[in-house]
Amino acid sequence: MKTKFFKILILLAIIMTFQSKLFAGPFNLVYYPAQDPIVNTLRSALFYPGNKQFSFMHKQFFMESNFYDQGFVYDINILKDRPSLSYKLWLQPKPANLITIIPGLGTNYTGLSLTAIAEVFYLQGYSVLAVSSVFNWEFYESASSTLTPGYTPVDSLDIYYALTKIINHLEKKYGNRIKDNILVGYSLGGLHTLYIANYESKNKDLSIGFKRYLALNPPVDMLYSLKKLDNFYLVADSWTKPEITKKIYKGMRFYRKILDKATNNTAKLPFTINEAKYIIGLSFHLSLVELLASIHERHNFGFLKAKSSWFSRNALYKEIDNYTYYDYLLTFFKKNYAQKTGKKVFLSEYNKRSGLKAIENTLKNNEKIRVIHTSNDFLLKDKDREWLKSTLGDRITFINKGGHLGYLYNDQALELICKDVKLPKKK
Amino acid sequence: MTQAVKLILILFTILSVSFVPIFANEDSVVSHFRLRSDIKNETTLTENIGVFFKNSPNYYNLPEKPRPCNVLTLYDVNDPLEAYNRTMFAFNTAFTGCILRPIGEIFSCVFPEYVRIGFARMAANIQLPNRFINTILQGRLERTGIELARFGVNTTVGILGFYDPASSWMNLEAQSNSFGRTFEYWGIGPGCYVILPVQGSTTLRDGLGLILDWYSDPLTWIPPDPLAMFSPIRLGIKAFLKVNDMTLIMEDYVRIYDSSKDPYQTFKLIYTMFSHMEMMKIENDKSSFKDFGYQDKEVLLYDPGGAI
Repeated sequence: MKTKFFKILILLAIIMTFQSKLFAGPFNLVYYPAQDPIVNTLRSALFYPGNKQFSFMHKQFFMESNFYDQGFVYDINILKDRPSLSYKLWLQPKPANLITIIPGLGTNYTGLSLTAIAEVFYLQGYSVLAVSSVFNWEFYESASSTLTPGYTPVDSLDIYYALTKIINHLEKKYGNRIKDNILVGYSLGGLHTLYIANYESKNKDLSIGFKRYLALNPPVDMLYSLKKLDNFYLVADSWTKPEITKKIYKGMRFYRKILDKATNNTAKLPFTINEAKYIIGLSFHLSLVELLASIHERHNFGFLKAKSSWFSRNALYKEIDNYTYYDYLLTFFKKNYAQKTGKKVFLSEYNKRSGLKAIENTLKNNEKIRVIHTSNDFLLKDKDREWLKSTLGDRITFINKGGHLGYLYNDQALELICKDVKLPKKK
Repeated sequence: MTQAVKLILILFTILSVSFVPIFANEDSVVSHFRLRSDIKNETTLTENIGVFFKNSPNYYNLPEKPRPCNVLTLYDVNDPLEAYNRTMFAFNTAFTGCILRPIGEIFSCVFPEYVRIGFARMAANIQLPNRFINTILQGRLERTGIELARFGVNTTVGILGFYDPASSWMNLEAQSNSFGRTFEYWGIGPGCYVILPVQGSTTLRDGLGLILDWYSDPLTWIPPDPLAMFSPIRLGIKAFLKVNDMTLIMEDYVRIYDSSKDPYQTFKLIYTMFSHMEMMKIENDKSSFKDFGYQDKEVLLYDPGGAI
């Protein structure tokens, strides 16, 4: 009887010791209000540069005393006969590791969230380099080798080529102020980060040699994610103009309050699910309009009929405004790749080769990869979540709340990000 | 004969079964064309299959009718002077970058941010006559009373409008108004979009309203040259306030400008959206979240007062 009792006790002790591995649960955020994940995604607006480096008096008396203006904007020519690509650099005064950040869908290097993440890393002692997203008009015009971004293997190579040129240039200019390189990407940038990890693992001679790849909320299925964003934007199809104006007004006013620090970050957000959907969808839709205008400038695929010139572009923008991401894939993207390959294009086939599952082997075997995701990210299907868990094991952490990147303002989550970005000490 | 029929049936079954997987995936021909609302029957489908295999432009699913939620169409404003407007926008950008911004940098070194915000509030406070006249013309007498109350409280307790206790203590929120908004309230259309030198975006209707706004502006009546077009004292005060306002929005302005492919289009969209929002507040006579139907007490935490 006693022996049985002790055996049970020992078994319980073993289970409790290995509990975290056996029954790995999500990373739990404290003081994070439980709301719908789509509404919680709007909390990413609560994440903006804190400008903590400046004293109160400095901020009062200098117009541009903010972290963004502390950095330098550089231009570098990536592709021949294309405009120069702009990027932002915050360099530490002493030698430090360099973190390169690839932002989410359509984000420019001047983006607020991107600047805020850069500030977090800078305060940790890293130098930071920020570039625009592949779907941003600026990157497209300067560094995109393809006429239609959207095919991840090509897009990630375009970013990688641009980063190689930039980092080589920085290393020549700043010498030993740049130590090791780390790559961080969020959302679509996270997907490109992991594809770059795949490329570097197969081409060790031609690589920058990133020592760590951190992806925040990368999508697994591109087509599913883009369709989701389109559906968010199209939720307003049944609304009247006054209703749409109200929603936009509410979103802008709330954003103004955030920037004026007049909000309570632990209280619930005053948005319905449909309002949150529309605000998220609208912001991505507007970046698509800019991208399509750039694509049309570079090559006329014949889909847009409105004439335009420097002096007259209104009609063109109104025509472009009718396109969603899926429409873009079905038209510009398909035609470009059909002409390139001379074959019929099935989006499902391209989608398979553009998602994370196409690089499953690298994800399984590359120890430098880390991923942070959320348990309720609406861009993931349940089976995608399971697949990520089984592929990445303990190299992925799921945060229990936050939707899509809505946890970024939370200090606990930022600690986790900084921990994952840290390189092991050299022996 | 029966065996032949059986054979035909089996063949047909095999063909149907093998036919299905070809069109089984989401992007297959059948589902591809089923997405189009003009495919109503098999005949049309067959025709379009032929079109698909010819790889003609019809193979590509162009968006159909304009969507009701297209933002650029919803907030479109007539812009026949686009060539002139773009040129003037370029001029204003150069003026802001080369003249206003450097002056603003020096200005902000002299006056800290909370003082500059106070100056902006004082400038808004002094525009009471304009708001008073316009609320009467709009027939919104309750709002007229609120404007008078705001002026009284902010001028006395708020030290000539430097502070805004009317909003923060008494929930009497600010609401911008002008003759342009009054004309719109009366149902007059905007006319065309125009960019004025230095002044910036406006419409033909709002531009005409600016003339009346000028007459109702107390600064116009400053001695020794009331109503004079180029009074040095008035121009000096206007320039001071313009630079002050610019220092408060410069960060946002630069960020929006740098991140936009077509800043002219972006700022035009922002202008028309803001005009609609101002008009909405006036028409509904509502300024806070709770007036839009949100009764949640917590919402009020996000709405301490003040317009955008």
